[in-house]
Amino acid sequence: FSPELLRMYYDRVFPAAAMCRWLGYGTAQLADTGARLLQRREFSFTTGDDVYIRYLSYENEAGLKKDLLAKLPHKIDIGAIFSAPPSDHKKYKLFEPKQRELIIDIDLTDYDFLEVDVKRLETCDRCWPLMALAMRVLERALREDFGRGPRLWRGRAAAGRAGSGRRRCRSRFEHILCVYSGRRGIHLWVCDARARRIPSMKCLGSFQVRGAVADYLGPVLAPATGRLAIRTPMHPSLARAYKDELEPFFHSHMLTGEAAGGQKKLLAMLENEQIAEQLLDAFEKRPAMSGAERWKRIKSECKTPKLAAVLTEVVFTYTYPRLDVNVSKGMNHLLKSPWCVHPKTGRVCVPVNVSECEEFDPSSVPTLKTIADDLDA
Amino acid sequence: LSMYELPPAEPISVSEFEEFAYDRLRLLSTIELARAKGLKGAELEARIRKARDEFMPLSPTGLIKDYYSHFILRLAYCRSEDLRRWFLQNELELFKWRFVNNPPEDRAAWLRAKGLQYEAISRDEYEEIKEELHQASPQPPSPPSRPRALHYKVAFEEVVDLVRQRRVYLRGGSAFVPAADLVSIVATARPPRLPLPSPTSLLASVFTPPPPPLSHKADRLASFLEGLATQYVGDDYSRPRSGSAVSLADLPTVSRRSFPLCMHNMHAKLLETKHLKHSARQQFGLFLKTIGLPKRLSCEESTAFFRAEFTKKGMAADKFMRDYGYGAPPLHRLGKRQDWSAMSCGKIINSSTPSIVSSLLGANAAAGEHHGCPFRNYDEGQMRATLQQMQVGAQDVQYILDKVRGQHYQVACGKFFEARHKGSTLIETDLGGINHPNQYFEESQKFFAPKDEAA
Repeated sequence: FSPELLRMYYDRVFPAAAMCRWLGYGTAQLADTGARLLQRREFSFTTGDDVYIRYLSYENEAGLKKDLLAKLPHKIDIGAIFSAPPSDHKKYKLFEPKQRELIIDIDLTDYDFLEVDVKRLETCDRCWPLMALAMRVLERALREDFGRGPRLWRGRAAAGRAGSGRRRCRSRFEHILCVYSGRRGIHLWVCDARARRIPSMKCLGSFQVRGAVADYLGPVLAPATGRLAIRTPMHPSLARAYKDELEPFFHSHMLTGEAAGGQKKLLAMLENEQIAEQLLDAFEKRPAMSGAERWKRIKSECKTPKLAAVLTEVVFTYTYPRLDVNVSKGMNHLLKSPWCVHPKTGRVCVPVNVSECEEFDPSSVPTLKTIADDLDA
Repeated sequence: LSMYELPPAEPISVSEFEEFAYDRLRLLSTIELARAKGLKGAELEARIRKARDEFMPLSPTGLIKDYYSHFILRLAYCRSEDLRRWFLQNELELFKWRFVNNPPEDRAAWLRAKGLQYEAISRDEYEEIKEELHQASPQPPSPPSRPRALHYKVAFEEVVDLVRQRRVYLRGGSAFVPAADLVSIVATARPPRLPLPSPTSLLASVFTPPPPPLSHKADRLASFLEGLATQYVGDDYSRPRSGSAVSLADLPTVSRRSFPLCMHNMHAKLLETKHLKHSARQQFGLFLKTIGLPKRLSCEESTAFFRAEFTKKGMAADKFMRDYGYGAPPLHRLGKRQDWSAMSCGKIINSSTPSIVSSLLGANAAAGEHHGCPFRNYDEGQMRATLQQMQVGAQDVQYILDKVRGQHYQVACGKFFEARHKGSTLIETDLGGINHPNQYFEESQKFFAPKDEAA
């Protein structure tokens, strides 16, 4: 992680212009400089010895690039859009966050129940399918529940959009950016104006819209059972995720990939020793059994409504995205910038295309080293 | 059903003012306790109804009282974020209850009057998403006379609590809210319209123009309002109770057995470090006074008790008298005539937190500050360790920590009581939690009394 490599990266590779265009949200040319969003955005640099330099802000890409080269930060974070340029924040009496993308942070560390060894990078890469699944589930929920979604009531909706409906219906969640976090997680940035303008606190009291969205997306862990609590009948959003994503993933990855020990733990969660033992026996006798077959077997054993409900909860527990709710709740939480280099792995935090996230391979992400080699070549 | 948009303009007498305030405080405290216990649905409603009937009956005078007392408490509770939240949450609960229990026609009229018009979805739309709607919010099957419950389409930001609990169907950024859950919209819509003005401006608006006989009472009102937020409305513990006299010799046993955690903690620290800082001395001293120690201990003896402990570490007796002797006389009402009754939980929790910074760092013990409510001031690890040391079972520890996280310190304390007094059920009773350290002590004494006699 030498200064030379960083200088090379920030000088020749880092897409400062694209970043600034993104964060400006089309306001860079506005005559009223106060309305330009980029200059009110907080950046935070972290130096090599873990010192955070907060409240940096830039008027344009040239400023950003110049400062990057001057400070050579090991890590770049992006904060909220404030009421005034953060670099002069001491000048203003009233300095508070005004806008913020709705951010979602998913990290393998929150999946420790799977006994993934998160310290070792290779195993993290093996767990990428989990991340890809989380990404798909959340993206879909954001788009369909909060975004445009599949079109409903075709005739009327079209008519409405042409006429007065335009004014009435607010923008929806459509612009969702997924970024590989550089090691073992992903970040989602919901950038639509409606998402950005959600206040974290609505006036008084605890009516936190952001928190509510995060809670809506996030699961509730029931401490008594150690499973995620899922109500029957399932909420449509969960039912959709279960049917389309979780269940197939569960038998294709959880039932085949894992060693017998893992399955034992999984079956123990059914809280029915007899059935768990039977199933375990059956699986041991026929190790070649495919995940789909095992799944069928398990399902056929769990017939009673109570067991079926428990089984559903087990599936959710093992597969449903675990997001860090606290990151999404506030407006002032810093989140690692896209295109930043992860200080530990050296990997660049590249954006990921959700529709192709299956093919994404974290170990093939460019690192500072490979970039340097490429540039030299 | 009132949103309390305009403050009252008619003058009322000072005694009415105080009476109204106390009654509303009792009403809200009841709601708070019921909520803290996690009561839901019918039980909660029954509790609120009972309290409402008791304190704010639906009579002409009751309505006036409701109207005035709301504003009086607003005055008293607008001084800090914590108090505001407390007030707002409980008022909201009361409002929801009133809203739900109003006849539907009134409700509709009220919504119209407030300009909260929501678009009900058409039959076609309903048919299309019928299944999802049912999945999202299971409703009891509607009676055949009404073929379908009305659903309203609103932006999801307006029904935050339904979204949070995943109890509403969302599509394309709109929430489809069943008529029965409409209260959620109203509740969310309400807070922004409830600006809490500064006390002076509201006082001014309440009493404009200030009626002449009132102006000279302004001082009295001001201090009344100041005290109201930490006011304790339960039993009176301002005088030592008879029958609970504890002698100095018993103190160690009694401390272990019957003191609430805050007092036990301070006593332990006093024995351990031979020192307590001013706030802790005050909180602890007043508590001791009320459990009856001063019956045996005159003011001088109380000083002697502290002196004995303090000087064990080698502090010279005269130094003690010089530096700390000032504390006891006022505790025993020898100085200015101030209110030196033992502090209630509300007061301990709200007013005497060790400085915020140090409690954030978990360092308040390090700073030598032991007053305040441990359930509030300890961090989770510290709490867990303390509870285990006090032999509280794992399940109870979990329950207590949950309540602490929900900021229900007094219920946590109640659970602590139960755990320390096997077989007692405090939370289930009307009490719900601990309101006063001395209440804890007396309940505990009551619990042990029969056993002591048997022994």
